[in-house]
Order: sequence, then structure tokens, then C-alpha cells
Amino acid sequence: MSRMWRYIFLMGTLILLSGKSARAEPVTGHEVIDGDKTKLVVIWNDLYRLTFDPARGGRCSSFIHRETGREWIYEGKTAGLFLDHFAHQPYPGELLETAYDYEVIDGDGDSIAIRLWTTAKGGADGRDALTRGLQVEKTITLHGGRRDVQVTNAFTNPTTEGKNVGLWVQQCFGYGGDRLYDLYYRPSSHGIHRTGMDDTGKKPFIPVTDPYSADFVGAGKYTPAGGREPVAGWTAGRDRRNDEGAIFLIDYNYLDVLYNSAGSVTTEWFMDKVPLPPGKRWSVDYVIIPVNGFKGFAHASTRVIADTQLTSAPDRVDITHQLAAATAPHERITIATTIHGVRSKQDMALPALVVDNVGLQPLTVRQAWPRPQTEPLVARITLSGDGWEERYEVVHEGAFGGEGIHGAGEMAEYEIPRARKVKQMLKPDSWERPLNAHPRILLLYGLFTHHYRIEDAVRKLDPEAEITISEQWDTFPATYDELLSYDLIIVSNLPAGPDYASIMLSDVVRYGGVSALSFGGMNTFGAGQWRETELMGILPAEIPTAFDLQRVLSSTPPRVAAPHPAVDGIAFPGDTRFYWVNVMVPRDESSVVLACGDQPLVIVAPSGKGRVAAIAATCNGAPLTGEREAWTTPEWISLLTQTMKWLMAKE
Amino acid sequence: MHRWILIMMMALTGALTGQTDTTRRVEIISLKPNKIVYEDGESGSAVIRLYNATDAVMQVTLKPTLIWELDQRQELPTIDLSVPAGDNASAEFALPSSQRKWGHELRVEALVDGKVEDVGRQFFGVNTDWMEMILLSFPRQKYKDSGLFMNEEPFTSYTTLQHWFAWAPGDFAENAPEYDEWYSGQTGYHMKKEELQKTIKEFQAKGIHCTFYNNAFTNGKAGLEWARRYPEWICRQRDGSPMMSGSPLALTKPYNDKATGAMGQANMAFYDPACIEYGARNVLESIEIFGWDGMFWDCGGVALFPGYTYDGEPTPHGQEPNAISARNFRMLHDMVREKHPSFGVWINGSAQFAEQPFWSRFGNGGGMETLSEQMSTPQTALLIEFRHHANPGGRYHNWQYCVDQYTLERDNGTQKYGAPIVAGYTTFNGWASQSHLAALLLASQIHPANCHQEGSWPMTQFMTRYSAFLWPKDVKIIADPAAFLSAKTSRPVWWEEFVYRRPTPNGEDIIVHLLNKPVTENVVEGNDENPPPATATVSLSLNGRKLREVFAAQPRPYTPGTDNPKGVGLDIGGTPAQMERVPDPQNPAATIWAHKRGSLCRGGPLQVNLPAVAQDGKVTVEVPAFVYHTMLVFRLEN
Repeated sequence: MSRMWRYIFLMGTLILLSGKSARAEPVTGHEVIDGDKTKLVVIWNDLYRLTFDPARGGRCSSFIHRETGREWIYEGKTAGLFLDHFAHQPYPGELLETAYDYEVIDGDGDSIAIRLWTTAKGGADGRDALTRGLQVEKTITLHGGRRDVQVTNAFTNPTTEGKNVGLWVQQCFGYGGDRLYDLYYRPSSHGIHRTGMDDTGKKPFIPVTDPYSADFVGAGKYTPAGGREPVAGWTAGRDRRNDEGAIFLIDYNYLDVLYNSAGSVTTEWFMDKVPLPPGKRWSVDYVIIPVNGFKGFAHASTRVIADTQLTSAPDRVDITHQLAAATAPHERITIATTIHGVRSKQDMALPALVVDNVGLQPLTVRQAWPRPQTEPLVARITLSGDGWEERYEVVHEGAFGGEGIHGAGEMAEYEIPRARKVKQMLKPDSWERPLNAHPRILLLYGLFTHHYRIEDAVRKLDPEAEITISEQWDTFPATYDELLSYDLIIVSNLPAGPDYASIMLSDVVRYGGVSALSFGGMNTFGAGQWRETELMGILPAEIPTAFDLQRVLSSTPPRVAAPHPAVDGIAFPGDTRFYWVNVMVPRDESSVVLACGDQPLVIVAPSGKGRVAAIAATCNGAPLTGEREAWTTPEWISLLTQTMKWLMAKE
Repeated sequence: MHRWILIMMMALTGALTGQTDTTRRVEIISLKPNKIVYEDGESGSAVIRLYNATDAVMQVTLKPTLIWELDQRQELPTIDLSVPAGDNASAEFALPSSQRKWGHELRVEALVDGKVEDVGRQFFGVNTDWMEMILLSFPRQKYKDSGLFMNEEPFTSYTTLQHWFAWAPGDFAENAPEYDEWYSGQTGYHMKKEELQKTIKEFQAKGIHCTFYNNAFTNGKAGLEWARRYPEWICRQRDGSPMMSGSPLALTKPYNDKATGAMGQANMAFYDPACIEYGARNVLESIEIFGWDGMFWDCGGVALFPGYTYDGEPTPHGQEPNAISARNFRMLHDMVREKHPSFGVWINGSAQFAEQPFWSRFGNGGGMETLSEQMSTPQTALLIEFRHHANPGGRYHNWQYCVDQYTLERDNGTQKYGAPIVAGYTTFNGWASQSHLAALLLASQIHPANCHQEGSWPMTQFMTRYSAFLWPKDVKIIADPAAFLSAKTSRPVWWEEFVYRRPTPNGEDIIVHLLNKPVTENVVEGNDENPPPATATVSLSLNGRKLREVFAAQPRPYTPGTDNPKGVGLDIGGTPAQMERVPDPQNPAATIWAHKRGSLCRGGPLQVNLPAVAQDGKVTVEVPAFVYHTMLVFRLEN
């Protein structure tokens, strides 16, 4: 087909899909009707008719496909779309049944939207300071002739206190007009995880022993995920009988956990916590795209929806792709597939497939990998179109998996790489800090912290110093206000915490002048995934490897490496040793003040308005005869005391 | 109403008092050897207790006999005993050292005026390699109380092993605690060292062997403190983080906090021989302190774990992982067995994962190839856990799947390497389903690990008595029995998967297990209804050999309390056990139930010599009706 004819065809398809050529009257609209007890608001476009119940959490209590008349929302008290919760509140939380205000925003027939909002009361007893006074808002928009439903959730903090909440979204509905035959798909680092019930709705359709069966994808506080982390910002489902389904496009940068309760027929996700300083507003969008005809889902974006399934035959592996445009047709999409052998590490690129005229209905194309499967395989797929490219991976274990490939045990044999999340956190307008009469110190308490004797050193520095202990990151301050009230924040042998905590900690050091001290060990720095976090912005050294806990190479006592107040007058006795160190490469602006041989043990540096120190020395290892652990000596306490004194010194 | 409830109510209301067999003037109400398992050549003793139901003193002559194999006997010296009117009397007599291994019956006839008034039977085993006799059938009581109960009555369930479970006290790193306590993270029990030492000795005096829990992890505060000292032996994830089954937060809690055991496990990277040597020394120290007979390895023992070490290298460090695992087992167990030759080891694993590649393994799913080194050594058994037969939807809920899997485990484990296989977690309620499972386990050479059920006693009793026909390494499966054997049965019966050859000095025994198929396709928990009994006509081609005789044996069709035989075809008789309240020796202000009279010893496996005629090179026998199981033994001579 020539380029011109292709263009004409595409435009025609667009017009047909949009339906705009066939009508002159507005395709969107709304009305307010009487419900059993309250007013209901109905909005519609040419594809859907949605009914909202503002008095019951602003939920959508009816979602009807106008072409088929099919209702997606089943009967039941918990049913509905766009149900929002605070992630830290246990179900049902304070929002599910609370009354929302609303307004309808009419886009002159081209779009219709309903904005619903309420003010959080602070939980059932009003004592939840993280939500009290927070304005919660959601806007659902339909466009004429478009199959996607756009949703914006927002939190606004009109109070004078900092807030910190995560969004939890529930969609309680059934594909195909009932609660049966629904199958759910979630992209995880171990492959696409599925959940669903059998034909009776009483037992799992996919046995719970199936490696790809799981309700959760993601860890956090809700469940141990065994490494199954989301690798993309979407979740999907379909009815096994008629392939009616939907894709939910979610902001990956804030996505924490994907979840379906197959038994209760829900699609849910939890988002990362975000700090909300006073006067700030945070919002996030998601999109629902109802689809038809897909046999599964392996990838989704605002451009394209795709499924790729691999099936092993004795002499080859058959690969079936399904492809559809998400919202607007594509003239041409190229599918480039490379088969990667998990154990052999061999890659084989297959001939690219070119698919023309990709519309909203899925097209199926097939190809084969012309070899018998002898190991778990990964299909690495690149979709490309006019000026764009998207990638995804599909894990195919076939008969060669066992438990390792999918990570039902401790170790997944293969993990799909996860892109780093990029967040734009809301900052406070002021970085002012109180002047404390005695040091206020926050100690984030990790593995083996008691060996470092940090409290002894603090008492030596100032017996009246105030130490707040946080068990790991679980009780990390939720607000900038609280964090700025500390003079020193100590992170002791901890893996990286949630994104918001890393960002807030870095912010209060750089902009607030709070000081930070970090201790090494088996669980932190490189092994603790610090390298992918904002913490690297304040750490006085680079971490060259994830396997950074290494033996001290020199069998000599620690030595002062450079004159500095932190090590002034300190001389470790000749029989004292450190045995394991977190390897670090100091930055140009940093000073190595204590070392063993050439290996840095203590590195200090200014960081914005604050100061930081990294203790690369660890309490790991067992002494040989005639030796003493250096961290058990008075010199160690002196080192910590003087380091903390320097860190908190006022310029 | 459920039978157990009914029995309990009857006992509590005193209704269970009037079922005495009035034809007997004296009855044997207890017969106990002093051990459940003796070492080879070990002599022992037995205590017999009788009840005189009359109002006159009875002079009783006791005639003990030892029986082993099918028909070997040794008469023991008679004993004269005077039993007071309406009361009990007991006598202790010597048991000579046994003439051969495996199961024995001690049978005692009680004669008054030359007339046999009663016959008592009890069963025990003889085997220095006691792992070959491994039977775990725990009474259903609180775990911490089970020691007392089993010590009082080791023949309640014929269990041969007491195990201290689990995550105790720090796994690999800490089996010889310096502090005065033994602690189980998973069960949450605590024992002082002295209490544990005393309890172990009491068990051992009864022939019950004692094992402790060891693991491929180190856990709890004590275990992870060890990990701090030896970070080079802790497995890492691909991202460099320690491979831990749980939160290190557990470490902020006391070492004996239950959560620490449950949440603070760190996987070991067993590539370094120094680590294995440490583990062996720790085991030896623990044996020194507590006197263990053996240990249990969870998560595949010292098999190399897929992961990384501190230096970023995959745990095999360029070597063949199975070779490292084999080295580990050999090294650790050799070090221990050099000092304690009969030290027993049972390992959590599964033959189902025999072909699983290294990187696909996790703990108990470790490939059998990894375990082969150890499975071939004496005193080593394999635990296959997570049967959960009563769980609808579970794989082991289906009877045919059970048959397929248990025979698969047998063929890939016991038959291939010689190691006993123990099936874990087979406990569920229901006489009929339990009895079907019992038949399947003993027919497929599988040893049970369960909580004692009404269906367990006949099984464990049969296994104890006929162990010589079930568990010796030279009992070999016959792959194609239909080539020389046929069975016509009155209803569906499994048998072709369960035909064995056992060499004898002059020929061989052909052992055929006939299993009456359940009525239902799946395991039905709580099912107390017997299936219709089956009969069979079995023909065997002699192929030039001479038939000596044919025996049939089946487990005792026992139902507790009622002694009402559920089997058919063979009558066992007997009177029910009767209980009475007696002062609690540990609390004089209270009373406890105690056995007063009635049979705890009369019932046993049923064995008959079947009439058989050889004709045209073939011998045919009619097997008596059986409800669950019959073991047929053709004794052939060359």
C-alpha cells in the first residue's frame, strides 16, 4: 500500500473509531438522578455510561458498556470503581463510605468529567495525624469517541502540619458482566503473574502451587513478595469466556504493589508514600482502557497493548504476538524479538515482524524460534513505531523451570530488570530548624547496631542528648517538620528505605543543614541497594559494587589518614583490628580520616548545608588469637564522639 | 456423633466398665519389652501384668515365646506368678539377645491349671542401624507434654524416634548453646539443658532414639550473631544483599523470642570447607552435651545453595555444585560418625526433584543428585514433607496420585540408594482414609511421620512386626510382576506396583502387597466407613523353583476403646482397655486417668498360613478377605 493510501485508510479508521462522522449532537453528557437514599450522578459518552454515588465514597456504582448493555459492576456492598483509600489504613479505612462533594465539568459535548472531593477526618477516631485535614480528590473524565477513561487522584494539604500518605486504589468489578472467569495479569520481575478463580468461582483457576500464580506483585508492608516487584506501570484482566478485559495504566514511578483478590474479584494497587508539606498538592493520573479479544497481556502503555506467548514444540518454540493500539491507531509497528537463554546466556535475534494498520482490535502475528527448548527462555521484545520504541520481556520456563526461575524460593534464576523510579517530591517552603539546647539525634537501628555502641558515644558527647530510635525505616518521620527537628540522623547498617525517606533525608541534609552519619555492615550501602537512591547524593563516597562488604586487606590496626577533628588524638592500640569493610571510593570533596592500609574506614564531607560521615568500618568478623575488635575499644567511642561533634558543629 | 467424642463421653461417665470378657479368670492387661528397638545382639527384659477377675488368688504359669521372621520361634523359661483376687500382679523376665535383626513378637500365654486363660502379644525391633526402623507417630498431645506420655507408654504408637523441632536453637551455627536453655523458634518451647538431657536418657532407655533439628540456615539472635562474625559464609542475593528468610528486625528482639526464630534466618553458602568443619564441630559438641542419637537436616542439609557469596561469585565458585554438596555431606558426616558410628541423619528433600538443575533448587526441593552421596550411606533417611492428603485441591488429595508419587519416591530413593524415606505430615482424621493411607505407606516402603491416629496403630504395629519384609536394602521391587504373577480380585485392588523380591538363604520370598482401593477418588477426611472387603485369587509361576509355603498377614483391624474388629475374615477377640482415676504422682491433689485392665497387648497383626497347591509349575492361593491390606509372602526354594 502506498504511503498516501495508507494515510487515507488510517484517517478513515480514525474517523470511524471516533464516530464523529456519524453524529452532530454531543456524545457526552450527564444527569443527576435519585438513588435509594441519595442523589446519583450519571455521566456518559458514546461508549460508556457511568453512575456515581457521591455519598458512598464517590464510587462509580454502575459502569455500562452502551453497545452491549453489559454492566461491569456486580451487586454487593463492596463493589464499585475508583475506590480510594489511604494505604496505611486497614480496610475499609475512612474514605470508602464517606460522603464526597462533587461537580460535573462539561466539555461542550466532547468530554465530560466528574470531580469528587472530601476532607479526611483523621481515621475513625480522628487521631490519624497523617490524614486529618487532608483534602482527597478524584476526577474521572470521558471523551467522546475514546475508549480510555482518564482518572486523576490528588491530595492537597491545606493544614499547617506536614502529611505523608500513600494512595490505595480499588476497582471491584467483574469482566463480562459477572464475577466468574476473570483472570488477572501483573507484570513482575519474575514474569507475568496471574490470578483467577475456576469456573465455579470457588477454587483458584491457577493452582496456588503454580509459580506464576500470586495475588501480590510487590513487597512493602503488605506481603513478602519473594522478589516479585512490579516492572511496569500497568495491570490487566480479562474474562476467559469472551476475552473482554481492560488495561489499567498506572504511574510506574509511584507504584508500590499490584494486587488482585481473585476470590473477591478486585483489581487494586498501592502507591508509594509521598510527603505533603503544608499548602502542597500532589496528584497522579491513571487510565482505564477496556479492550476485547486479547488472550493475555504482556505489555501496555498509552500507545500500545501487547501480549506475547511462547509455546514449546519438540523442535521449536512458537511465539504468538497480539497487538493493538491503546487509544489511537498506528500506521505500522515493528516487532523485534530476541530469544535469550537463561542458562546458556546465548541470544538469538529473530527476523523482525512488521505489522501494518494496528487499530484498537488486537492483531495476531506468529513466528517461531527454530530450536527445541533446552533451558528457560526469555523473549526480549522491542516494539517500535513512528518515532517511538518500547520494550518488554516475557519469561518462558517451559519444562525447565523448577522453583528457581520464578523465585518461589529465595533466589530467582532470572529477574526482569526494573527501571529506576523517578519521583518529583513536594518540598517545604522553609527549611528552618529549631535550635536545640541539647543534640536531638534520630537513630535508624539496623542489624548489629548494638555492637557499634552509638548510645555510649552520644552520652559521652552530651549526657542530656535526646536519642530517638527508629526500628529500621518503619517509623521514619513522616514529615519534613519532624525530620528538620533533629540535629543528626544516624543510619546504621540498613538497606535503602522507601523512596520518600531517602529523598527527605537527603533534602534535610542538603537544604536544612541536618547532619548524617551512616554505619556499614552486611546489609547496607552496596548490598543495601543504596546505589539506586537519592542517598548517593549526600554520601561522601561512591559505592563501586553491590558486593561491597570485603575483607580488610591489611593486618594492621586502623590509622589516622588525615588530620581532622574527628580523629584528633586518636590512636588505636596495635592489637586492634577491623576485619571487614564496605569498600568505597571517596568523592573529591571528601576526606578519608581513618583507614586501614589503603582502605578508607571513615570518610567525611560537607553536603550542602549539612555535613555527612560514612563509617565504612564494620563490626563483622571474628578476632584471631591476640587480637581485639577495634569497635570494642575506648578509642572507637572517642572516634564516634568526635565525629558526631564535628558533624553537628555550628559554622 | 463422632466416635472419639462418644468414647470420651463413655469414659467420663464411667460407662466403659462392664465389657470384661467373663470367660477369663485372669487376663493379661499389659506386656512391655523394655525397649521398642534393641541394638543387634542386645538382651533386654519385659514386664507382664495380669488382672485376676475372680475372688480367689490365682496361681498363673506364664509361657513366653519370641517369634521373628514369619515362623521362627524361641521358647523362653516359664514364670510362675500369684495374682491376688480382684487385683493386679506383675512379673519381669529376661529377654535373651535376639538371634537376628528386624521385627519380633513377644507372645506370652497365661495358664491356670494347665488351661490357657489368655495370650498377650507385643512387638519390637532389633537393629543397630536404627534409622532403618524409623517410625514417627507422635501422640496427639501438646508437644512439650509428649515426652512424658511416650515415656510412660512407648508402645502407644510404636514410634521409634523423638525429634526436637525446629529452628533450635540457632540452626547451623548454634546447636551447642552456652546458655542454659534449649529453645525451639518455631514451636516456641524452652527447656533447661538438664531437663533435656534427662528426657533424652529416658527415651533412650526405652529404645527411642533422639534427634535434633539442624538447618542450612542460621537463625535467631544467636545464629545471626554468628553470621556477623562469619559474613563470608552467608549466602547473598544477586543484588548483594544477604539471603535472609525474614526481617533482620528480629535481631532487635531477645534471642529466645519466637519471632527471632521465625523471621531471622540467613542462608548458608556452603562452598567453604572451613564452614562445614565448623558445623561438624558444633554437632559433635551438641552430642557431647545432650547425647543425641542423630539429627534432622532441614532445607536439604549442607547441599550447596544457589546464590552468591560475599565476593559476588556464584556459590559454586566455578566448581560442579553437586560435587561440592557431596563433599560437604561426606566431610561433615564422616567427622561426626568417626566418633559416633551409629549417628543417624534424616534429610528434608524429595526424589521428585531428582533432575532439578542447581539454579532451580531451593532448600527441601534440592535435587536428589545432590543427596546421592549421603543417601547411599548407612543411617541416613530422607524426609518428604507436605503431603497434606486431606486438603481438597492439593495434589496429594487424589489417591492415584498418592500411589504414583509414593512409588516414585520409593523407586528414586529407597530402591536407588537404600535410604529409608519418611513421609511427613500425613495426619488427618477418619479411620477409613487413614487405613488406606497406612496400607499405601507400608506397601511402598515409606515410613510415616504423623500424629498418632486410630489408623496409625495397625500400621506402625505391622511395620514393627514385619519390618524384615518391608525395609531391608535387599528387598527389591519387581518391575514387571505380571510376567509371573496374576491376581483376580473381587473388587479393584492395587498390587502390581507393590511386588518385591527378598533373598533368603535357600531361595527367595516373593512379597505381594494387596491394597483394597478406596471407594472415593480423593482422600475424604473424617471418613469412618470401611470399603467393601476384597478377596483375591493369586497365582504364581514357579519357574522351576519349589514352593515352601505361603503366608498372608494383615494389620490388626483396631479401633480404640471398643476393640470392635473392623476387619473381616479373622477374629482377634480381646477385651477393651479400661481406665480408672488414680492420684497424679506430680500433683497429689489431682487425679489422672490410668490404665487398669483390658487389652493393650493382645491385638496384633493377623497372620495365616495359606493352603497352596503347586500344579503345572504354578501355585494358586485364595487370599482371605481384607478391608485395607494384605501382605502375601510366597516362600520359594531354588
